[in-house]
Formats: sequence, C-alpha cells, structure tokens
Amino acid sequence: MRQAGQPVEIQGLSKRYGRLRALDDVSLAVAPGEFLALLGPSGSGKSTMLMTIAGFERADSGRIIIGGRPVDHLPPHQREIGMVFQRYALFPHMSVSENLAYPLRRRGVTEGEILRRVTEALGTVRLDDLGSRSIDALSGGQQQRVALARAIIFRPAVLLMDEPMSALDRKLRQHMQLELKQLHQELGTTIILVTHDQEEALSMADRVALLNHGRLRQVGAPAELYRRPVDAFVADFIGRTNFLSVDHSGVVGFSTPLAGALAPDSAAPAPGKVLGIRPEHMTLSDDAPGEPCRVIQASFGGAQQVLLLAAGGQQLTMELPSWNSSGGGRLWQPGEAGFLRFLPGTARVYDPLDTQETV
Amino acid sequence: MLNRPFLLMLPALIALGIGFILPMGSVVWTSLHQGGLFSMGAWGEVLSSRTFLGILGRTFSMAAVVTLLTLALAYPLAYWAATTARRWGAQIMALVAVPYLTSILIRSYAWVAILGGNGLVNRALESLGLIEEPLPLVFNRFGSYVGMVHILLPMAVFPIFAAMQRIDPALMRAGASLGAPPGSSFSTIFLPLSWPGVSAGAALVFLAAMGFYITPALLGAPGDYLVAQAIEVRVSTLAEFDTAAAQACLLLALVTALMLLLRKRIVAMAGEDTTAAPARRLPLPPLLRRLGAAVAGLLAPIATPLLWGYGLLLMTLLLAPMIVVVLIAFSSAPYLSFPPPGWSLRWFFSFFADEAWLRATGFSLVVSLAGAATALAIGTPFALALSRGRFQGRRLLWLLAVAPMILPHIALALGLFFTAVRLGLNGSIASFWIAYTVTGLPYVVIILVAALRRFDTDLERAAASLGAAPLRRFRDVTLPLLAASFASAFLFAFLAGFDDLIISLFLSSPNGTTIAMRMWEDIRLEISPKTAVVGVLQLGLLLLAALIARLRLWSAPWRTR
Repeated sequence: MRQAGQPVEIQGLSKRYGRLRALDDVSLAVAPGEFLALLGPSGSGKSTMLMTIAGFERADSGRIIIGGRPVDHLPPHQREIGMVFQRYALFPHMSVSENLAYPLRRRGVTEGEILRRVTEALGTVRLDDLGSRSIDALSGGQQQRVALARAIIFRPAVLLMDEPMSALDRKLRQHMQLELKQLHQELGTTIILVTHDQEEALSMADRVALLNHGRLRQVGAPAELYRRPVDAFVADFIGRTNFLSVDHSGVVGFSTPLAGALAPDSAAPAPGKVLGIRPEHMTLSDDAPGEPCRVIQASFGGAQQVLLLAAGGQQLTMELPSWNSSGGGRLWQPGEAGFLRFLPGTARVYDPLDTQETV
Repeated sequence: MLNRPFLLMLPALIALGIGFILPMGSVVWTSLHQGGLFSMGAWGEVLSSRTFLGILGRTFSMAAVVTLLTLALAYPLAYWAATTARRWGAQIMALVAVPYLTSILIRSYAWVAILGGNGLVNRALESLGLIEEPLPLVFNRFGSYVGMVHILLPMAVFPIFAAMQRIDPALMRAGASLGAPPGSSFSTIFLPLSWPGVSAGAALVFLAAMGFYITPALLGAPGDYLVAQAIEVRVSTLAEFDTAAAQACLLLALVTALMLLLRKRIVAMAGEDTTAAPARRLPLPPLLRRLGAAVAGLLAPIATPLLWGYGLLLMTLLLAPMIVVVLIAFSSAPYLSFPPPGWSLRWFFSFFADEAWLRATGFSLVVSLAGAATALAIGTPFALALSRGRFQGRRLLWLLAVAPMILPHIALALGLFFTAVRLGLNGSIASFWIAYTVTGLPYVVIILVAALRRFDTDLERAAASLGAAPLRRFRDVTLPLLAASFASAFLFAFLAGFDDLIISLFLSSPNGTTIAMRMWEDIRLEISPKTAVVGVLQLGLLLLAALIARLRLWSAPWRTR
C-alpha cells in the first residue's frame, strides 16, 4: 500500500484567538515523504497549526498548499488528509473492521475491495484477528494501531498525528515510536506529527520544527537543533543547557579563559549576554588544569551521575558517565573540590532567555 | 460545520417569536388597553386590590415553604444515591424520574385517593383504631403542600445528585487524613461542594412553585387561591381579560426578575456551564453549620442503615401515587375509592367506549407528537449552535429557549389565548401545535446541549478527516452515539405537551379538546376511575417504549453500512 507522499507548503500562516496570537506568520515547507515533528511547549501553537492544516480551524491569513494545490477553501472531508487523534477518536459504536471500512465507504469503494484492504490494513498494524472486536475490548496500544490503520487505509498523501503516543505508557510508547518510523519508511507518506515530547520528536522525525508563542523558532534535522540552536529558547528546550553570565573577558567569575570552548560560529561574549553550555559537554577532574569548583549536590542516575557545581560564584549542572574505560568510574560526593573543563567547540553565546519564554 | 450559528438557530428563534415572545407581548398589550384604548386601569385595579396582593403574598410564602420542604427531603435522598448507594445511583435516578411519566393532573388525582376522607391513610388509621373521624388531609393547605412537594421533588433531586456525583470521594478521605472527623469533613468539604446543586434545585423549585395551578386547585382548600388560579378565574368566570393580563404580567415580571437573578444557578444546573464555583463560604450561619457538623457527626456511625431506610421510604412515597393510579384503574367501584372494593376492567371498557374521550386522546396525541417532533427538529440545530459556536450571548439564548419551561404556564397560556383569538386560530390544531412546540423546546435544548457538551467532537472531526460531509457525519456519528439523548429529548418534549392542562384550559374548543381537559372536567364533576385508566395507558406505553429502547430494537438501522 505504498503511496508517494505529497509536499506540504505553509505560507505566512497567522491565527488569533482574541488577543492571543496562536500562530504568528509561520512559513514552513515539508518535503514529499518527509517525517516532520512540530515540537513546542503547550500553548505554542503546534496543535492550532495541525488543526488548520486538517481544515478544522481557519487561519486569519496565510496559505496551505498540498501537492501544489491550495486547500484553504476546502472543508476537512475534501482534503484527503489522514489524521490520528490524541485520544484516537475511534467510533465506539462500530467494530474495528467497520472503523477501518468507514473512509473506504465514504469513497464508494466496492465491498470486495473494502474487505481486501481492511484485511491488509489489519495486517499492516499486526491486528490480524481483531477485526470483529468492539473498540472497548481493545488495549490502549491496540486502539492506537487501529487509529493509525484507519488514517492510512484510504492512502492519504499526508498523515497528521496529534500527540498520538501521549496516552501510552513509557515502554509501549518507545515500541510504537519504532513501529511508526518503520511504517513511515514502508508507506512513504508525508507525516506531520505534533508532540511536546522532545525525545519523541528527535528520535522519530527527519526534521523538527520548534514553535513557541505561535512563532517558528528553528527548523532542522534533530542533530542540528541539538548542536546548533539558534537561540537560548531552542538550546533550553532541546536537551538541557546551563546559562552563565558573561562579559568581554569570558564567564563572569571564572579565572580560566573560554578560548577553545566556544563553537566557531558562536557570537562573541559580551556583557548582558549568556553562555550556553550543556551538562554533558563538560569534564570534571581532581587535577588542574580547569576552573576550580565545588560539588554542591550529587545524584546517581544509573548510566550517569548528575552534579550541581559552584564555580566562580555561579552554579551549573553537569552530567558525567558513572563508568569509565576501566569499569567503575569516579563517583563524586557533595563537598568535594575539582577542576571543571568545557569540551572544545560546544559552548555558545546567546541573548538571555526572555523570562516569558521559559518552558 | 458551524460557520453560521445564526442560521442554525433561526428556526427555533422564529418558533419562540411566534409561540412565546408574541404571546407574552400580547399579555402586556392587553393589560394596558381597555376597549382598544390605552389605559392603566387594569394595573390600577390589580395593584390596589388587597385580595390580589394577598393572593400574591400567599403564593410567595407557599412557594418558599414548598422550596424548603423539598430541599430538606431531596438533599438526604440525593446524598444516599450519590454516596451510600453509589452503585445504584443511576437506577435510583431513573426511578425518581418515573413520576414524570404521568401527568401532574394524574399524580394530584392519586393524592386525593390516598389522603381523602375515604382514602388509604384515613382508612388505615381508622382500622387501627387510632382515629374515629377521618383526618382532614386534603382540600386544605396540607394537601397542597404534599402534592406540590411530591411533584417538585425530582426537580430538586436531579441537580443536587449531579453536583454530588462530581465530588471526588478521595476529597473526603483526604479530609479524614488531615484530621477532620466525619461530621466536620461533611460540613467543610461535601456540603460546600454540593451547594451549586442545592442552589440550582432551590431556584428551579421556587420558580415552578410560583406558577402552580393544578395541584393547589385539586388538593388545596377551595378559597385558598394561588396566583395562577386567580388569573384563570378572572378569564373563565369573569371574562375580565385586562385585569387577568395585568395579574399575569405582575407574576411574569416577578418570576422573570427572579429567573434573571438566579440565571447563573439555573444555567449551571443544566450543564450549560460546568464552571459553577462551589460555595467558598456557605451562606449558612456558623451556628447552623456547627449544628450540622454535630448532627452529621452523631449520625455518622449509623449513617448507612439510616440513609438506606430514609432512601427506600422516600422512594416508596414518591412512587406510591403511581401504584395507586394503577390499582384504581382496575377498580370495580362506580366512583373513586381506595383501596378498591373489587377488581374489574369496567373502566377500561368505559374509556374505550367513550367517543369523546377517545377523540380527546387522539387529539392530544396528534398535537403533542407534532409539537415534540417540531421541537426536536428546530431544537437540535439550536443546541448544536449553542454548544459548538463561539459567540456572545449564548447563555441568554439558552435561557430564552428554556424560559417557556420556567416561566408560569398560566401567563404563556393567557398570551397564547390572546394571540390565537386574534389570529382566528383558537381551538385549532395549529394553535396547540405552536404551543406544544414552544413548551417542548426547553427539554430538547437542555438535554441536547448537555449531551453535546459531553460529546467528544474529535469523533466528528475523525469522520470529517476520513471523508464524511457534515450531514453524513451527523448521521453516522453524532446521531447514533447520542441516540439515547435524542430519544429522551423527544420523550420529554412529548410529555410536556401531552400532560399540559393549563394551556388547554385556554385554547380548547368543542372541536379541539385535549385528554387533559377531559380528565380535568371528569375529576371536577364526578371523580371516576376513568382518569386512572388514562394514567395506566400512558404509563404502560412509556414503559414499553423504554423497554424497547433498552433492548435497542431500533438501533440496527443506525449502524453504518
């Protein structure tokens, strides 16, 4: 049931609810067959964007073009877009098979073909024997698969997913993420997935579009967002980042120079700016060289230990492996002193995070 | 689907315009005219009449007493159904609703059989040797109170139960773990959280009690008029339309003012707005609250048997009139007497042999079915617009559609009468059809708005994303999933018309007479068991319909193919 995906182009989309800007001039191009994640905190506008693409919300301005055809004037049932809803929205008064057959009946597919495609779709999501079940008799994971099968059975060129994993427990969620990624490769459909879970976005999507307060902050491959955040919000939302005050000479209160720690394309440190450094991009040793520091808190988290450090009058968190090449690594205790070093090319200078934008 | 909420509401607004606003306007107009000329004479007469102002005061005080009695009885019953008997809560509420299946007229009639000199209670007391002379239990104010409280009880139980059901039992456990003894956790946690239900119930009961006609007329003392009776007498006996209109206006103004004052409570009750805040500070004096806590604390150890005993007793009293009606219908006596001296089907034969009664039954069926069908047809888009649309004034529009249920029917009846006469429609099927559309609409709107609010709109969106056009998804998804709500909306709209007496009193003519009118005349003249036959037939048909609905015999056609 392979189906070439269609490109989705979003041009200058804006939407207001009263005084709230849900979407503020968002433009984005999704390539055919691409898996794009719309990521952002709650209220960032990601769901509004999905609902606008699906046709359930009408934008105040801007255009949506699917496969080269503007769809803004089309009602949802004519857009040929598959959608998986957050709570699945399976029809409780129909069996699994009837749910799957529903979009085919709306398209006048013959009964024989319906039977064939329902059987095929049940196979695709590995629910072969459950066609006659009622929806209530399915587990959460099974319902999720039915919702997915129902959304792809009519071979839409674009599939939208609204936080589809949020109702599943952690183990099942990771499993379904892998399955969905595999299914995407088999189907070749363009997928736009909304999530507030950065891990989900990073692990599944080809590209991630990060939204905040209705504005698009950065679009790029997961590694790019992680390695080269364009601003403090992205650095803070994707992974974790320490923010330290800086001036022209380097980190305020530090005796060692920043020098090689800065990424080559980073801005220069200046008063009023902040230095962003990830907890995993530091080392700590008993011996110089490095910035003298003291461990304030230490917590053991399995593969890594998380330390809260005080250095040069500022505090920062660091994460370091709890093991080394010879087996058991050094475990730090509160009160111990050490020397802190930033890994070369990992630190970046940003404008400080606007307090309103904290996650 | 809802780009144009105004268009969806238009049919209902037109119906309300013709069947509600126009009649109300004509009442006001009539009250201000004498012999076709503007005159304040009627108002002067009404406002200077000590008799009428006395009646108004009596109506107010009786409504207040009835409200207090009803709430005092309803609260423990709802508490029992929502906590102690939580497992049976839904079934208990269904039983509480059973009295709605027969008309106020028939229920009041049953109380005559129970409380009358020759009735159940007096006979029982006599045979026990406790009394020699029958106690005067009916045709006095006591009888009025019993009948009114009995009829209004469900109206108070429903909102209180709904509020109590929303209270998370973990809150009471949290209270206990924080050191509150049972009595105090009841008065500091449960009581405040259930208060929105209590105030909603109080508002509804009081407003309804203000317009009562049948019960006080049947069970009350002959001279002990309430306002609705006073207005009816003005029209039917004295033909003083302008003063009747002025009296109706005064009653209407008072009740409308109260309704607008209490609108937040009423609206909250119907699930139109679920954000009703629990009472942060109870409007109870601290002494009373402490007393409540002390009583609740004392009763806590024996609460379970006490509540079960109370609950079962009250349910019996609530359902007793229904049972009495059934038994009377099979009586062999030539007049109303309870318990019946023997059993026979003579009254059923007599009913089916009486052409006037059959004609009235047919007429009632036609006009109330037409009214209910119309109310459902125009109320459904109206409810859709109210529950889905985002526009200003939804609460007021909801209240407008529900007003024909809350405002006294005597005023509506008078207005419909004036309007029908002016349009030459008096006694015609059309006038009843319009009237019963308007009286059925509130039930449709209340039930459907609440159901649509609870309905997961993602299901409709899913159908849309799968390719179903608006009407198609309404048919495939909304309608089958809300079938029970649509059915009960239709049922209540139908009963609102079928059980109506007050509007019939004004609109009936020799060509168009409802069964309620027939029963009313029969009860006033001879009190034969024939009225009970109508009650039994109605009860039987509705129970049959409920059974069919339960078995879902009709759900098959909705299955999407």
